[in-house]
Amino acid sequence: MREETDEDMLIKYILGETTDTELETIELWLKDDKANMRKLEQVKFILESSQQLAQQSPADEDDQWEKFKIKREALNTRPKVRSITARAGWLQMAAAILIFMGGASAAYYFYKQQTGLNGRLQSFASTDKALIDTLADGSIVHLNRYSSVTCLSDFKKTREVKLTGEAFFEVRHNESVPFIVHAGQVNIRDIGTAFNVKSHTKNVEVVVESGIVRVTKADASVQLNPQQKVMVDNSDNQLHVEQNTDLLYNYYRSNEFIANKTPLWRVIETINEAYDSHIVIADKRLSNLPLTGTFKKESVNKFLQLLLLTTPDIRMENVGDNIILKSK
Amino acid sequence: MNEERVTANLFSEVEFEALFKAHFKELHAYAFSFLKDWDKAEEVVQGLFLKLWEKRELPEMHTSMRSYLYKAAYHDCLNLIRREKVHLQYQTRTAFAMKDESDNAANTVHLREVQVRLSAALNMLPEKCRTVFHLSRFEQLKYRQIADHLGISIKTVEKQMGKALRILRGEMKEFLPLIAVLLFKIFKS
Repeated sequence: MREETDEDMLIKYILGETTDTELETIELWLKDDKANMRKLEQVKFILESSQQLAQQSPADEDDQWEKFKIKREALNTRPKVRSITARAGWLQMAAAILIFMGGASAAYYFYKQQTGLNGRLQSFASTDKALIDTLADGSIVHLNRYSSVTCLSDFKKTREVKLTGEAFFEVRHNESVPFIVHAGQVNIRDIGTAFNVKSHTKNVEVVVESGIVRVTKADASVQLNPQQKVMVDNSDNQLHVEQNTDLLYNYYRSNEFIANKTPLWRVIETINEAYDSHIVIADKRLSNLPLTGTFKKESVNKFLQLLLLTTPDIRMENVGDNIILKSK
Repeated sequence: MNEERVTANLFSEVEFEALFKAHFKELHAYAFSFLKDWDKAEEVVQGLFLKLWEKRELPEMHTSMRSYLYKAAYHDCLNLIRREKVHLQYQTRTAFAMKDESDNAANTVHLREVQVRLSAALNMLPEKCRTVFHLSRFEQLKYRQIADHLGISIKTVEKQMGKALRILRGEMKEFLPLIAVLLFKIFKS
């Protein structure tokens, strides 16, 4: 046999591709000489080692097809690349016009950016579910239910937002671009902190979790440190700073009501707000009862069950939609 | 595989989707055998289908669709390797990928060297040769099936396999004396 033919035959032999007569020839040839056996081993070695390199594709055809369609779409929207030849002088014209238009629209875009305040600014609102969103500067806003945040500036020189309802802000640190929240007539200004703002028809409450914020209304202004809060009444310009004693304000973010020697009325107030429930404390004595504990935000009924279990002094009555809490 | 030799010149969306889904994974594995990186392999295969779609017409069919696709993948992969010089990364990756193959330390070294070297040697094979070899060894196809897939004769498959082996043997020369030992350790364990 010629060397090449032998080798082809050997491969066939290893791969089990030989016909019966070929098989016999090969086996005889192998017995014929030790060198032939060695050759077989070498070929076998290469064939089998390469088989070990084989890998199955982990991809999924359907996913890949979806990806492909997206890529193809992108391709279609992009103009095709063609060489511009002298023959296609009009193409050069078109290119010039395109470039001009591109430049013009870029200029227009930047102009709009500069002037800001033109409807392109970010704004979002929650309905019956709390939501989290990120502002253009990377600050994170946790919106409580039925609240909204609208950006009032382009976030270049100042970052100003208007809040209705309640939100917790985690402000991305940037000393040169102050962050200002407008809630009613109250302005809250800070540089890079986390704080909660709750704006009611009657008042605005600001609680600082970390960092320092400055709260102003008309001429009055106070500085708040972590775990301090200020309640600003809409009817006057007094700013009263107090120590914030509870973490209840956090409920729509953490989905937990955390009470730490918090008076019952305060807990009930928050529960009513979170669930639109109508729980009323009938007994003055109960009102200031200190509660401690963490309640998962599940349902009003779960909460009431827990409350009754842990506070044996309380009994409950249902009157229509109202739930009345009385002492035993 | 005759149904793949579409006579019409333009793809319909449905035909193209079928073609894509039928061949994606095997081409992905094929590209991986060059690039040792599934993401890069994916890019190559996606890219070649995009090019095919853009042309919107079937390549001239001397052989088969599969043959055309493998050929495109072969050239795109080697171009990518040349462009990105992935081969540096590629060798370390291969070595890494093979690390767990054996727990015998000395043996591992040999085995890894063999695999790295073999992977590199595979990339030296000419296009047709590589495709045939890949279909035989990686996809475990019989000569008959390879011939059908690529629209070539069985005789050509035989010839290409022989050619592949000769090239690989040349590249692997220095390992061959060790074979008796290695073979025993690798395949019998």
